[in-house]
Amino acid sequence: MLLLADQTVVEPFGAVKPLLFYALAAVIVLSAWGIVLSQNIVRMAVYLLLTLAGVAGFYFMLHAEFLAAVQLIVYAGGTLILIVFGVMLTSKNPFMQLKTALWERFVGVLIGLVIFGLLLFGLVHTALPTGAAATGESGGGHYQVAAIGRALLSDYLVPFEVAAVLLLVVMIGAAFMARRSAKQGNG
Amino acid sequence: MLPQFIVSVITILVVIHVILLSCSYLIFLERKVAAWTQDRIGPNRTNFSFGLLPFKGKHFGLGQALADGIKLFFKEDYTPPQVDRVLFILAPIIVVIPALLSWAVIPWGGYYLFDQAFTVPAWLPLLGGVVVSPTIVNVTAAPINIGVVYILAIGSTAVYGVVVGGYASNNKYSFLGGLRATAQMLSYEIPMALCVLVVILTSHGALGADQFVHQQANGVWNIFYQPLLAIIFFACVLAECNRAPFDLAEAEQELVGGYHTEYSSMKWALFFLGEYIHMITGAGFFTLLFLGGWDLPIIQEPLIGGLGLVLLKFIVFASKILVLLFVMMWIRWTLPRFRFDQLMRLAWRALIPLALLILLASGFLVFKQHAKWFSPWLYTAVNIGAIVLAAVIGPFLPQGPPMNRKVGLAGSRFSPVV
Amino acid sequence: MNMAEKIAGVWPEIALLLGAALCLLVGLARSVAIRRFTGWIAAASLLVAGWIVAAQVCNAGGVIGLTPYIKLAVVAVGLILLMVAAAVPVQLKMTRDIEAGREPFEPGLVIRGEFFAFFLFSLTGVMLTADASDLVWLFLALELTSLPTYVMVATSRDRVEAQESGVKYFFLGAMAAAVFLYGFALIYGATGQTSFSLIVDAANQQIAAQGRISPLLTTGIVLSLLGVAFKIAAVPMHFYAADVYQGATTAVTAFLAFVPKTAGFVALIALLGLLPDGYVPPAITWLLWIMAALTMTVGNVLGLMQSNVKRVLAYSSIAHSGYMLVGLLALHGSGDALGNGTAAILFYLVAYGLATIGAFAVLGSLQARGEEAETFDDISGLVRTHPVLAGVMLLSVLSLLGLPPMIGFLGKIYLFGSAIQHGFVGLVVIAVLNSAVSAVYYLRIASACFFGDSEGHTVSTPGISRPLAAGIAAVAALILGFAGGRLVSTARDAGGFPTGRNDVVTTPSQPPAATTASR
Repeated sequence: MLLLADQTVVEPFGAVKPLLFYALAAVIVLSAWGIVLSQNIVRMAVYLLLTLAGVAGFYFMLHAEFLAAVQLIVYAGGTLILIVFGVMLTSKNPFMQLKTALWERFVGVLIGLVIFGLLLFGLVHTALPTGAAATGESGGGHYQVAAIGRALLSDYLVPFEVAAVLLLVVMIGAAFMARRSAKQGNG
Repeated sequence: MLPQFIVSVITILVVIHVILLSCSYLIFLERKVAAWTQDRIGPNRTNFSFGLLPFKGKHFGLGQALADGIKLFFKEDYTPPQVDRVLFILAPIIVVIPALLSWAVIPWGGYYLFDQAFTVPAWLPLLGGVVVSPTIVNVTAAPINIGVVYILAIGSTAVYGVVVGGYASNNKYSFLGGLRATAQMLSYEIPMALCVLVVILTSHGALGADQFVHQQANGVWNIFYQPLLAIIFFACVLAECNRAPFDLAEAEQELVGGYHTEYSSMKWALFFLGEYIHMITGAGFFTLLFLGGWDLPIIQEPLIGGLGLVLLKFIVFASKILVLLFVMMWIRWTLPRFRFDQLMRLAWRALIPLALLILLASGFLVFKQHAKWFSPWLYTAVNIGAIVLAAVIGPFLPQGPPMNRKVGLAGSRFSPVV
Repeated sequence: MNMAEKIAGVWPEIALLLGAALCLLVGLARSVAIRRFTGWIAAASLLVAGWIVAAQVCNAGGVIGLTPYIKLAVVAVGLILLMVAAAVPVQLKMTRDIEAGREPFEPGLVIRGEFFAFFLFSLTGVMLTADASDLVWLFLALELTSLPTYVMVATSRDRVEAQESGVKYFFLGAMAAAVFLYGFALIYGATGQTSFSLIVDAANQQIAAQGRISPLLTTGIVLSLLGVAFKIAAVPMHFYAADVYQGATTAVTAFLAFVPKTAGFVALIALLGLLPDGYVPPAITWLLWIMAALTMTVGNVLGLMQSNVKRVLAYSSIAHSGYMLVGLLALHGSGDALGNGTAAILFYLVAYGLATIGAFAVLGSLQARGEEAETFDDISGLVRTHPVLAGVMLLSVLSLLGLPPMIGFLGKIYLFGSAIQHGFVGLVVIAVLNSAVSAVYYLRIASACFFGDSEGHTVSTPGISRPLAAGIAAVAALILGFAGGRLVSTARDAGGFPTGRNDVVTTPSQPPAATTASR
């Protein structure tokens, strides 16, 4: 395989990386706010898409390209679109607005603040690893993928298979409930 | 880093402009192909004067493409009153962006060799005065290591534009179109990913886009090893870009216009543009996986070279894409549209089982690839075997209930007698 | 632990999964006679799994660790639960219609295969939870326990309430899963490891470096505990219990009362096992203290106000989770049976499971107005119509209440004893007061059975399996209460494995002399 000769590492864009980071962070945080504050389910989905894509961007920045692609395929391309699809197919009125009562908002804000405080406490008082070791910038994408594959079929073989069983259960369960309720609806 | 960055920027600029401009001529080509199929002549009069400039003659109707564009640009951009305004504006953008992003990893021109060191001119901001040492770079916007997975990932977000557009229009027909598009794209992503998986497996675990081209340039194009897989993949590409015969999302007879019914002017044009960009992306992806990328058969072209070689490779790549685009148009104007249940059945009961079968057999062959009897042509045998198997056992599989019962005219509500 | 050993450990689960797959297939048979085999297949696969566990225990020299203990308990209680659940498919109108030939056979509408397969899937989840040696595994195993129960709740009864409670259970369960998954992510972030033993190593290093574990790790464990609290229906994740228990059919309610709770406590033991030996951050101690006190109190006080026996038993199940949380505080105990919280919890799980399943099985054996018995009116004067069932109910509630000589009494002694040894006297006082309060509603059930006026509309459901299961559970609760020494010593040995690190091999501690002395 042809390797790209890259002896002279010039980083003329040293300032770009933090900038990119904060831009992505802003996208993630603002669209997360959007999810919570929006009352329209499709808008929520679009905001959620932005959040997920932003996180995928972080993964790209950390040179975890495979993880980023999987994030997009699984969450943005699979899960989220299924949610939207399910909502559109099942709700009586897809244009409905989700109304929340005042006390619900109050409780929600309270729980959110508690968790936020907990996390803030945890993060502030913990010395996080820094530098190249923390971001793992050394690994090439290709070998990363091979390592992931090997881990899945050796160390994590049982969880991997359990995940397969779990998906089987979900699939049978969903089909089963759908068939039954369709029958009951007709009868 | 830096040389790659410079080449990437140049690649992006060139590719975006070439392709976006060629899109308008693709529409022209589409009309010509349609005319050819339907035994007409097609647009042949519009010249470049547009009634204003002093050009004479008909120019083979080549002015038509620009005239179409100008017309779209100057139409009234009407937003219906009851729409979800933010999403309504966002949808065409969401359609175009993923399609454009996929181009980032397509290796248009192989490699370029900076054969001597040079200094960036001092007047450039940021980079001025930096010395670039001799090196080899990819003529790709973003030469990441997992190219094909990236294309799949970006492709999986393409459906949002259609769904959001259909929803935001606040129109039942648009909404139905959006739903159809979602179900269709979700279903056809699966066989598509399976096809890619098979090609990755048989290419010794390659993931980077350029690695596929290498493999095929040094050997035989994958389409000869995996003919059935190529057909499945091509069908999925057609379905993913909502092209006939898979264009149920915009079936005009049933849904007026589908998800873009309420759109007009440039917003509508963006939807249209998105479809064509998707076609180019899909064709590029197909070329990459099955047609050897920039590789010309027979000739053993040098891997690394100067600007001329890069241009040549780009032209080869683009010509392959053009041929595929012609095939897509040909199919569109030849085949009738599927019914929705047929569409779903095709994906779930034909393409996915076949792709899985090939995946299984190819996986076994890869496992045994160091055996004495192994030859890559066994992949071809597997593909042909899958076709034969499908033809033999297909009629014996359970068919499911008939989807639409035929109602006799007499006694039905359409009966002219009652 | 390498891969081969891991796979060797999950043979019982593989047996259950094969049984589930067989159930799914046989459940689709066209002939009713063949479809009726599904229940027997489930029972057979449980027996095979139990036999494999027993063989493994024998190979290991007779040492019953935490994992085999839980697996054997799951097999034993699972068989009783299967007897309770055996009649569920017949209760459904659709099954009856199809089996009586009133409706054409349609593969999507026969439920036997799916019901028993889901039953086995869920039990497999509990077994895998006991096996778990890393966070990914633990998460998947917990979800495998819960997911089938959502479907079982929603489909095993021809009532809208069942579907409503199924949906409610599903959404709250998904939220809880999100919470503990987030906790797992933080644990991974704080240590960089998913494997339990490596996380413990990392935590030990943190203690060596800073004298404490990092707050991020603490936060992660706290969130995980809160999320897993859903599975055991502990405050603040308790509010679904009463509605879901009431909405589901009684057999499934009995299942819910034991299976997810067992998985939850095994997961909690494993999570607290991530802390280095002898070190529990005060935040976690306080969290468990408050959770235990609130769970007991809320369960018992709300249990007083119910008019529906199933709801009473639901709140009683919440209260019992509170008692077991007390044991969780004394987790890092000595080898002594009275000081070891893990052993006490393991023992109490079985004690509570037998008693509560007995009570639910009695309810399931009775019918009032075509529905399963639910209210105090339905069981009023039971002793005159069904004296045996009334006796079983009495034994069950006495065991739940914790009166000697029932097994529940022993369980409470060990739980509270271990907590006292670790200095949580205040909490034990609260627990004892709560037990006194719970006497009110337990005795209300018993007095309704024995002293109430029978209105005569309560009849027994057809089939022998439910009364039989109720009888077995109650008799087991009684006999084990008299002769619990063997089970106690087994639980103590199992509790000797302080964490989820089941690769650690320890020798069985003292002979059961200490046990008898403590009794």
